[in-house]
Amino acid sequence: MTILIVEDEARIRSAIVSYLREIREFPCTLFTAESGEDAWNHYSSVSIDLIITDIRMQEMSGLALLERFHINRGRIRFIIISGYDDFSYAQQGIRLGVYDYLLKPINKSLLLNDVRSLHHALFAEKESRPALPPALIFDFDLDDSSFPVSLREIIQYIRQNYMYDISLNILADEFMFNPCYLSNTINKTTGHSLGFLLDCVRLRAAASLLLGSKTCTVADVSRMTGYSSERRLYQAFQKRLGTTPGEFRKRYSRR
Amino acid sequence: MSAAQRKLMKWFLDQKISTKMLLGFIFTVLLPIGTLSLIMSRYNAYQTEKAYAGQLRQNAAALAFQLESSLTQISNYRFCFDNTKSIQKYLIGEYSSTSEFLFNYYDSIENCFSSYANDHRVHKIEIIADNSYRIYVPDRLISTAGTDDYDALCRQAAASYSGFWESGDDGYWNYYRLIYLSGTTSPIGLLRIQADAARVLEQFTGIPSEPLYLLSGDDVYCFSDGSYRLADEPEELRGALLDGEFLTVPIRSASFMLCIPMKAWNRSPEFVFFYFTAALFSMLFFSGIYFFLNRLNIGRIIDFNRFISAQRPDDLREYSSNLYTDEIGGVIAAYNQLVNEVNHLVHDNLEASLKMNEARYYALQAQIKPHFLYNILENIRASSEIHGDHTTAGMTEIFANYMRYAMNNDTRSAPLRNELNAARNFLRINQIRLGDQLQYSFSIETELDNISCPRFVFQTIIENSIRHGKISGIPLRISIHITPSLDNAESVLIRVADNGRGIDPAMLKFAQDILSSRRIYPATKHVGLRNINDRLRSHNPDRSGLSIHSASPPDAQHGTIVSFRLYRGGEP
Repeated sequence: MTILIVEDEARIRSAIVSYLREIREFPCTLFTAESGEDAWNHYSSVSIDLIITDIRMQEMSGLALLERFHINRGRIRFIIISGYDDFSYAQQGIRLGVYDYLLKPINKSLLLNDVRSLHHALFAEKESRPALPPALIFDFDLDDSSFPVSLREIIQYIRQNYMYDISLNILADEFMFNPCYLSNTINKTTGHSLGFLLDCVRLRAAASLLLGSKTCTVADVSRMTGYSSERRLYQAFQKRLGTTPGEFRKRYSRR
Repeated sequence: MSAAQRKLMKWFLDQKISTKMLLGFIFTVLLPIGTLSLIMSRYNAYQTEKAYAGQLRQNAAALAFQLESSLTQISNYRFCFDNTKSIQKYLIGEYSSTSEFLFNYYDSIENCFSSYANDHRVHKIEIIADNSYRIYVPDRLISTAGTDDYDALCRQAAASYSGFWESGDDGYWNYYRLIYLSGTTSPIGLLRIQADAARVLEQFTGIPSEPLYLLSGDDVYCFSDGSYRLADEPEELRGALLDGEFLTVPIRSASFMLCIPMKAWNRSPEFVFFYFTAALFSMLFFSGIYFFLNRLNIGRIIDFNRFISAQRPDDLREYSSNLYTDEIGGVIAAYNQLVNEVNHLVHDNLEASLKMNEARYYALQAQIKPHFLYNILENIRASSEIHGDHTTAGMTEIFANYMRYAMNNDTRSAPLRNELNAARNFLRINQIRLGDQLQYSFSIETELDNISCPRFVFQTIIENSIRHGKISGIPLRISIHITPSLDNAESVLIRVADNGRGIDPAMLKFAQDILSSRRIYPATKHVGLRNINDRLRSHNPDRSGLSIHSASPPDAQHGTIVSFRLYRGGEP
């Protein structure tokens, strides 16, 4: 995946680059440009999948840059990073096919999540996606619209941060909920525990890593999906799917 | 109008309405009607007594007439003797022997004497001759020993051709009449008819149950319980007679005077009692109706007045009761309308002043250019990040996030979730300064979607807590609880508690007074709390604001709790 970062402030630019370096699941080629002019001059002929740009820069504004790239290079996606939370910018951006609109200070997990899901959307067709076995954790609907807003926010949070350590207390702290109330709400509305929801997200990610990438070891997968050790990943596989990661990979990647 | 009259008038007008009604009732209803009914009852009694006396007199006359005709009937037996030859022969001494007399007696005289035999009123009939003999009926033989005062009786009888009656002491009335030889005027004997007075009287109708008195010459006789005798106390009775306590009717055919006790009209105490009770009850009944009807009207005015007196000037409410279409209802409706308008004006005024405060604030805010600020902050953060200084990077991020919320130009209220995030950022910023000396916790126990909150409510409360409540050397703990309200499912209760030094009672009272008042105070002191209180009030549909509870040392449970309420489905 090729990403162009356009930002006139050098420090911020390098901070974004350092965030994006944390992506390990797929290879990322990163280009940077100091201004809209610079970006257009140097990279208009290069095949680029995503442009991450500031909206207000010295010579050419982010929006003008977007417009130019949008007109000339149809398939490019954009993520705007801005100090403004002005609606009119967002509106124009959406018209030009902006994928997301992030505010400064940059939230790292939001940015990485955006890049990951973009990658997923762009290359889903290319990687022949293997069929997943029928199991409750794969069939469970995480986007059930009957869930209360708080729970949907929490699921969103888990999806963005599953690779980190997540516990009931961490979630309650993040969303300021009383831990007992949170646990009760999850049990009552989904009929499952928080552990199930975590496994749901993590095992789905683990499954696609195991089946999608031949080079990933089980230890890599466990690290990238937020399990503290390989043993934990084994335990989750045993519990939810009744198999081990190795067997799972063998059985389903053949098809 | 004289001074006294004016004074009286003023006194009357100063009285309470109910007193006025009572006075009016006494002077225009109770006194006139009482007086009138008293006069009416007196007049009624007088008329009744008069009618009663007339009735009595009529009864007496009827009685006298009956008596008179009865006496005439009895005296008419004399005709049997007037022209009987046998009797005359006997009286002039033509029968020389007793046997001759007896022969003639049984032959003709007996018929005369037997004429009264069926009349039980007549005791006996005698003829007294000049020669001191008497003719009598053998089967009613009565001792005739002794002589009456024949000559005196003859003299008395001669005065009246038709004879005369006199009352005897033995309970009999005697009728005397001279018997004359036919064709001459010289009397030859005396007829005496003795009538049983009791028998005569008892057959009359209309005899009163009281004793009946008869005056004959100087003697007073009494008839009571079917017996006729001399009265027991003649002197007293005569005195009473003279005093007019009796109704006297003369019997013309006899020298009698019929005396009927002139009893007063019988006004029994039961009757008087009944009369007064009935009058009292009817009076009470109609007074009750009068007062009930008045109460309906006056009661409304009194209630309304009580309601108005209890109104606080800073919390005017409408009088909620049934308004009828009369003048009182009109007055109340006018009052309600007035209150409504005053409340609207007060509310508009409050809104206007709040708007002005906010406008001033945002004017200040607009002087800072946000883009500039965020870029600086982002630079600092990126630099620290690159150099591995994650603490500084974190601080900068928190500060930038906080500034983004704080410098938002939106004057509307924010979703509660955003406000809470800002509050947490504010707490974190203060943690940068205070380190371990500030601790905080959040505990939300309800869904927060669809709840909005005026901006900076939490920040102001937290700021106050840190500035005024912090005890140096003791970590300040601030906890924020959000729970669903028990009494209203559409609202949540928010409680910000600290363990600080609390507020001393006098100050607390002052603060509570300010918060519970609807008045807008000049913005000199306690601006922050008052400002968010006012904004909460204009935000909440029930106009509820902040409430503060506090305990200060030496109370073990010291600390301050600020709580308020937010409603679901407010403006976004």
